[in-house]
Parts: sequence; C-alpha cells; structure tokens
Amino acid sequence: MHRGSRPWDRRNFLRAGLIGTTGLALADSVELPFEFGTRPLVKYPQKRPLIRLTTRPPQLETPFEVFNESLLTPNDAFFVRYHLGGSPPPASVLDPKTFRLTVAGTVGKELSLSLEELRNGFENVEVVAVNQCSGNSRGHFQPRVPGGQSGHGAMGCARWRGVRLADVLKAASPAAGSRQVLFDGLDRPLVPTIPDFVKSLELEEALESGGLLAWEMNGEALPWLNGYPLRLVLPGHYGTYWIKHLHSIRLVDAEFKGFWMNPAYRIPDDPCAHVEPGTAPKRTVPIRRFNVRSFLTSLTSGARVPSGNETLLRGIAFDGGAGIREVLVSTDDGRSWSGAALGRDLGRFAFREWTLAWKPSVAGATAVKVRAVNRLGEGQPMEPLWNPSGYMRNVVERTPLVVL
Amino acid sequence: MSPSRRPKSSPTDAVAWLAAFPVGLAVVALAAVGPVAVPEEPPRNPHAADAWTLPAGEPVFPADEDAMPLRRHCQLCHSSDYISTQPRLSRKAWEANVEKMRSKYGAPIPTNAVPAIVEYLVRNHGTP
Ligand code: HEC
Repeated sequence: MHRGSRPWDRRNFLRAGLIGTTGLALADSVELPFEFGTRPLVKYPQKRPLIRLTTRPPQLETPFEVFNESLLTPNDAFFVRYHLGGSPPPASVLDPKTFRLTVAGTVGKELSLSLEELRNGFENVEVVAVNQCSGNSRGHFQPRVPGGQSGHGAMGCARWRGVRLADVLKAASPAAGSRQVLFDGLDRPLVPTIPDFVKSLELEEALESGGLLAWEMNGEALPWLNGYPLRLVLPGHYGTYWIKHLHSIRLVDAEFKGFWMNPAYRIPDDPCAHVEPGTAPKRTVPIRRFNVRSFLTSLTSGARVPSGNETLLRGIAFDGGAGIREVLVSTDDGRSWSGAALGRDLGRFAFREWTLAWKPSVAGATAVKVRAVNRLGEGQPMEPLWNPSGYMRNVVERTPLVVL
Repeated sequence: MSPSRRPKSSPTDAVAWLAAFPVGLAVVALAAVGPVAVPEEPPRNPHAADAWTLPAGEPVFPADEDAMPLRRHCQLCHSSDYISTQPRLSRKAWEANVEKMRSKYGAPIPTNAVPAIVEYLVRNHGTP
C-alpha cells in the first residue's frame, strides 16, 4: 500500500500527531481500509477516544464497533465535524446565561431569545434522529475523491430535545415574500477571506421539515463539540444543515448564494445523485436528504465464524424519513437473500435494528451483504454510484468473513 | 405525553437493544412519527470547567527543505492532516486544490510558490 519513502508515512504522521497530546502509544491508532487510512485515536473533552481525521478544526469519527453497542449513539462517541479554523467556539462565547438566539430579517417581529425563553416559551419536543455527514464513507469512493476521508463512522443516532423550528419561525411572523431561512452558528473562520458557514432552507421546507432547535442529546446538554448550547436538528437531512452553536436565524426574500450552499455541498441533479466516474455533472442542486443505507454491525471484516453453530447477525438501517420497510441479508456474497427481523421502532428518522439468525454449514470464505428498502420502495444499489464530491454513498456494503 | 416514555440514558437503550435479540421479540410499530411533545424541564448542565480544553499539539509537515512551502502556506487555516489524509490525486486535481485554497478561501499564496507546492503534493500523494 505504501510506496517509497514519504514524509507522511505512518510513523512520521503519528509521531507528529502526538506532540503534546495525550501521550498515546502507537497502538492507539486505527487503519481505515483505504490508502492513507491510518488515524490516531484521540481523547477529546466529553468524548471517549475517537478516530481523528483532522486536528484543526477537529473532525472525529465514531469507531464502528459503537454502532453495535446501542441503537442510540452515546454522546461521548458521537462524531464531530467542523469546517472553520475558529472551531469549536470557546466557552466564553457559549455562556448559557448570556447566549441569545436571534430571529431577524424579513419578519414582522424580531426575536432575541435566551435559552430560558426558548425552553419556556415553546412546546418542548423530542425526536430520535440520525445525523450523518454528507461525506460519510467518502474514503471508500473509487476512484478516490478529495475531501474528508471518512470511513463509515461519520454518522450517529440520538434522541434530541428542544423546540420546533416551525413554532419559533411562526412566532417571528415571517413577512409576505420571505423565501429562505438562513442558519448561522458561533464558530468563525480563522481569516476573514474564508466564507462563514451559513446554510439555507426554503421557508416552506423549514416550516414543514420537522426541524428542532435542540439543547439536549440523549438526556444531557449537548456536548461542546456537538453544538452546545443549541443546534439545529433537521431529521432526515445531511449533517451540513445541522448548524452547531446556532445563534442566528435570518429570513430573506431572495435565494441565498453563500459559498457553503453553492458551490459547496452540491450533488448532481439526477435522482441518484451520480455521474460517470471521473466526469463533472452538468447541473447540480444542494444536497438534502439521506438515501437508504444499511450495515452489518455484529461482525467486522475478516471475522471468523464457526460452522454448525447459530450466529446472530445484527445491524442497522436508516433512510431520509420514510422509514425502513424491510432489510434483506445475504450470507453467500449476494447469491441468495433472506428477510431480517426488524427491531424496535424508535421513529422513522432513527436507526432501525435488524437481526437474522445464521447457521453456516460450509467452511471457507464468504461475505455478508445487507440491503434495506424504505416505505417508498427505495433501496440501495448493488454497484457504487459516484459523484465528484464523494457524497451520499449508499451501495450495498459487503463484509468478507471466514467460516471455520 | 407521559414522561416515562423518555429514556434518560444510553445504558437503558443498551439494555433494550440486548432485549431485542431474540428474533421473535422484534416489534414493528409503524405509528411512530415526528417530534413528540414532552413536558418542560429546568435547564441543566453547564459543562465542567475542564470540559473546554482541546488536546494540545497538531501534526506538522516535516522540516525538510522540499516541505518548506507547505509549512509556510498550507498549515495556516487548518492542520496538515487536512492534506496528509487525502488520497493520491492527479496533478490536475492537486493544482485545482491549491487554486481552490487561493480563490475560494483567499489563501495568501504567491503565484511563484505554487509550482513547488504542487510538486511536493504530486510526489507524495500523486497518482502514478
Ligand atoms: C486561507 C486559508 C487556507 C489556506 C492557507 C489553505 N487552506 Fe486548505 N482549506 C481551507 C478551508 C476553509 C478548507 C475547507 C475546510 C472544511 O470544509 O473542513 C480547506 C480544505 C482543504 C483540503 C480538504 C479538501 C477540500 O477541498 O476541502 C485540502 C486537501 C486542503 N485544504 C489543502 C490545502 C493546501 C495544499 C494548502 C496550501 C497550498 C492549503 N490547503 C492552504 C482553507 C485554507
């Protein structure tokens, strides 16, 4: 895999990466299954050691075993993705006593709400929802593409608690002609030439999205690195919209042209968001909702499974909010498929557990494949679809195993 | 809705997850949708003071002569692992990347520094 002598080889990188950090031994790293996939495991505040993709700003990925521990991803294992050098914002600007969320722009009534006022002024609601990075699994793209080289761990499922985005928007009385809603967090670019991270939604979409302004995650205050004290939760939509440290909502009467909406975070304008590998799309649209995905979580690549015994295969499936209708599992590398049992339903935006009892009889190499279908009949492709930004991977994943 | 519907911690869920193992126990409740109303509760948990410090240190490009332009120009806005974790890319793709840093993010890199940067990127992370 590694050729010749390169300054960025594993040893060098780790040595450099560990200067002044936590004194981790070399063993505290993982190899993601693609070239330049060596990553240190690093402990951050309120987090267990996570797979570090980048240091400044921090991008941390959840070790995949975590998805087999519980359906709700623990806060201390939940992935972290920042874009701007001035991230995360320091405690001084996140003081819950002085924090205000403003709603301004083309509104009849501007709002400036403390956390207290937000909590007491609107109905408090909860939703269990998956957050997934647009570029989750980008490292698996072939041909490879530039961008954050994540494995499958830039996703997680949590119970979020807050108030409805729609209730707060309505309280500000959007003026006639309001078209879009802009969301901005307290993280800042390090230099002024870098565009601030602002995302937009059509007003109608924002009102109907089921979005939450959330301060709580799995029964606790949001961790610092997941958006404390308030973040946008937009069930079924990619993480790029889930603005952390959210402090400003602005309504506008025109289409917002900010960098992080255009040209960033765009997908080919076709139903499967793909183009011929190596080519550029003719037309693009903003990335929006998750496609259908499913994973085996109880066994990892290369696992050895005894023949003659029953093994319980288990995993997760999710989609952009229609809900999972069925999960099909193949234990013979895709030749035959069986329906898996679906587990507890935590809502149509949540991870859905699946299980299948398997009694392998033939020794040798095989592979497990999983594919899910949602309630709209949408499934997963058998061959990967490609786009130049490495977004929305949802091919049927394959886990090679050895039956002993 | 009843507050008892709200699990407080992930261990609860871990137990529920384990309990769901026997295939026959799988529950298919199709009704669950959207946000669920819950009673209001007082604010909680401003984080502990020690929760606000990031681990110190970051990976840097080697002190070699040929990496100097990257030490100078490519670890200002982000750490070097933004680059060292990238896959092998074509010369054209690396040129486009450096150009993106300059034109989209305003990286203050003089034009005459670009060839040496691209050379280094191609030599270390270029497609054959
Ligand atoms: C003016 C600030 C700035 C400088 C200087 C800079 N970059 Fe970046 N770079 C960025 C920003 C902003 C991003 C996007 C960060 C994100 O989305 O997480 C980025 C991302 C990247 C990425 C990830 C892929 C991508 O396109 O998002 C690579 C690779 C990269 N930079 C390489 C370089 C190289 C090589 C240099 C030196 C020639 C450099 N950068 C200098 C601001 C800068």
